[in-house]
Amino acid sequence: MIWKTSWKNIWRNKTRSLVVIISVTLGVVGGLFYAAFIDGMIKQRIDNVLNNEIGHIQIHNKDFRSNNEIIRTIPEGDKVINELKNDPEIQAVSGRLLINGMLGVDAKNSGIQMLAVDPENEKTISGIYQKIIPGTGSWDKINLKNKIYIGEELAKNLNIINYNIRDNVFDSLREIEVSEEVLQKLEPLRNKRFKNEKIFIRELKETLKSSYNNSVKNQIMNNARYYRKRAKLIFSFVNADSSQTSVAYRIGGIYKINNTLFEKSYAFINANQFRKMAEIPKGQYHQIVVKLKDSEKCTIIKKQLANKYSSLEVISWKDIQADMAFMKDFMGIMYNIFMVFILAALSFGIINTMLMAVMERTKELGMLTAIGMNRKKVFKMIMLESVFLSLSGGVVGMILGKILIAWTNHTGIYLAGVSEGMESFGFAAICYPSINDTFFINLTILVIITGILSAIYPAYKALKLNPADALRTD
Amino acid sequence: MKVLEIKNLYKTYSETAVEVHAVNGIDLTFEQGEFAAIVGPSGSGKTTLLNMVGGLDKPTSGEVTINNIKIGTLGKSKIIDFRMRNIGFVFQSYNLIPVLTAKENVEFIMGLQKWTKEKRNARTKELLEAVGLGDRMNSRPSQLSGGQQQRVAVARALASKPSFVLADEPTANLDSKSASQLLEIMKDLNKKENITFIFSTHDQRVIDKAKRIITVEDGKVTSDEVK
Repeated sequence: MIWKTSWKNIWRNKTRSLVVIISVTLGVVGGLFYAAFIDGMIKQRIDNVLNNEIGHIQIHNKDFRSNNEIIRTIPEGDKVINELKNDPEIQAVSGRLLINGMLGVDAKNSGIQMLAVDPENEKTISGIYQKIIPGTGSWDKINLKNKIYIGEELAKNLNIINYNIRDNVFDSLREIEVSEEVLQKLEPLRNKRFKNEKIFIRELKETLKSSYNNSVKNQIMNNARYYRKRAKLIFSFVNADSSQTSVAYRIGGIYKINNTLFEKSYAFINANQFRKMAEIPKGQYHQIVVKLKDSEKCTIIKKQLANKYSSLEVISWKDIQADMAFMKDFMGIMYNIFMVFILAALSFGIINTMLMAVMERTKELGMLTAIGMNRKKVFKMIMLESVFLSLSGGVVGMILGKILIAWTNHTGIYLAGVSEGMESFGFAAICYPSINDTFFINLTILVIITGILSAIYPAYKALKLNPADALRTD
Repeated sequence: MKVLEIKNLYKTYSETAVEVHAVNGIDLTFEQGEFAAIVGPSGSGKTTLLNMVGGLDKPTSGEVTINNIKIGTLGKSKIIDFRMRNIGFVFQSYNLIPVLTAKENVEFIMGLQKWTKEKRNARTKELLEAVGLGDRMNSRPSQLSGGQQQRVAVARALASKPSFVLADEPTANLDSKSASQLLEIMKDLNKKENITFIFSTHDQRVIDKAKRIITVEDGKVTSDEVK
């Protein structure tokens, strides 16, 4: 009876209750979406770090990371790899040779770390092979002689990505319905070659003037871009005997992983070819990358491996990307704080509404006490009204939030204005919000708790009413 | 059988500079099945007396005994429970719960006492039919006239079969026709259910129907007549 009465009571003043329910709904949707957005971004970044960049655990020679000398290898790398492959907790293992050096094309040079990998094993720990930009090559070519895979950013720095508005570019632009006015303005640039993106964009701005905008720029750039796949890249490094050595490579493919720093700094080549050239004995590696079946067990397994291979250095992704691990924890705290603020704001709204409801019903509450509704039941009735209010908004908010998150997770949110900045920090320019069910359950509990806590003061006020006095009120 | 005994009852308000003796030594006894009216001018102490009899207010001194229980000895929670089981209330301004239907208003008190659904339904139907609202069970108070609302209030007061019903100016807000109908219904129920009705009123229509008239002036009983 009390449950039914409480539910009906919240609909006495429909407008007021709807305002509260809508506020709770918006608050919950906002909170959920914010958490999902941050979570999605961090998750993508971590997935990228773990799947394309560093794996869960890395093993090195103890002295390797301090000076990166080519001779600081893991002596029996093959044996370690085989042992790790038999570990039931480990999903994949691969060995790498890491060589610091300069990569140059023509007059352009850039400092990089070369990752010499076993092509097939590398596929099990890194998704780079799937990230080759179409038209720039393929991972399968890695077994061909002296093929190198560089990131898109490095390709830009080395002027390997050029721009040329050839005749066929005009045709393509017409096909995608770029206006004739723009095409007319582009005429002076026909068949002109631009060595890099910066110069090309500057020229486009000057030529197109008022017709220049981001959409037109992207359409022209996408069609005018071409890769100098035949370019000769010279890699110079210090060999085991301390002599300066240079090797020529040609592009096997250009990868893109939405992390400009990684794309600028790392290139991939075939380990066997490099091993012969640099005279590094077979079975020796600078780095063994381990991918776990369950990333949550990273810390425990790292400890186990550190004990087992005490002569080697065993580090986890959290040690290598300490900033990322910190960010993950920090964002977790941040969105909890954010939720607390939202719930606190909702709480004040509910308190206000419930106080008004109690004040308006003074006489009725007095009557209920007079006819025999005890204080416990009056308290329960007011509490339930508040819980119903917050829960209605909470449930609607959670449903809408879930739909919004599922939809944006499907379509992705393109952070157009800040994409370059995001990518320079290793975050994807397209965010796919996601959230786990535990967060939903926690939020439901929090909304109910907020409803209960918010009702305490108004319910206390109702308890303080003297029935005889309350009945005398108008 | 004695259902209510009031002994040497006083209520003094001393918050103001001058002490006000709202009830000034009243002794009364009510038997089961009485149909009594407490009459007197405004400010004579009728409502204060009724509040103390109903356990809504505490006397300064004196005793109210209902069914041999001195209600002054009951704690805050027990007095509420006691009221629920022993006293029915009818208020001047009906005081129905606006969001509930006539049926739900009547069965509310039975619900608080955890009656079974069948028992609740049967009693509600019986009472609403007795007050002539058998066909308006699902109407909300806002869909009923003042007289009809007060009839629902009477049905609610009788719902848990109390020892007596306290009705504070029940006809004050009603037109003559509604007031007469209501009084007839209450008189019938008084006979049928053998429940004591005690009115606080200065409405001549109530006084005419009452079998016992107690006149209160300045907090004292000045006459107590049985017709």
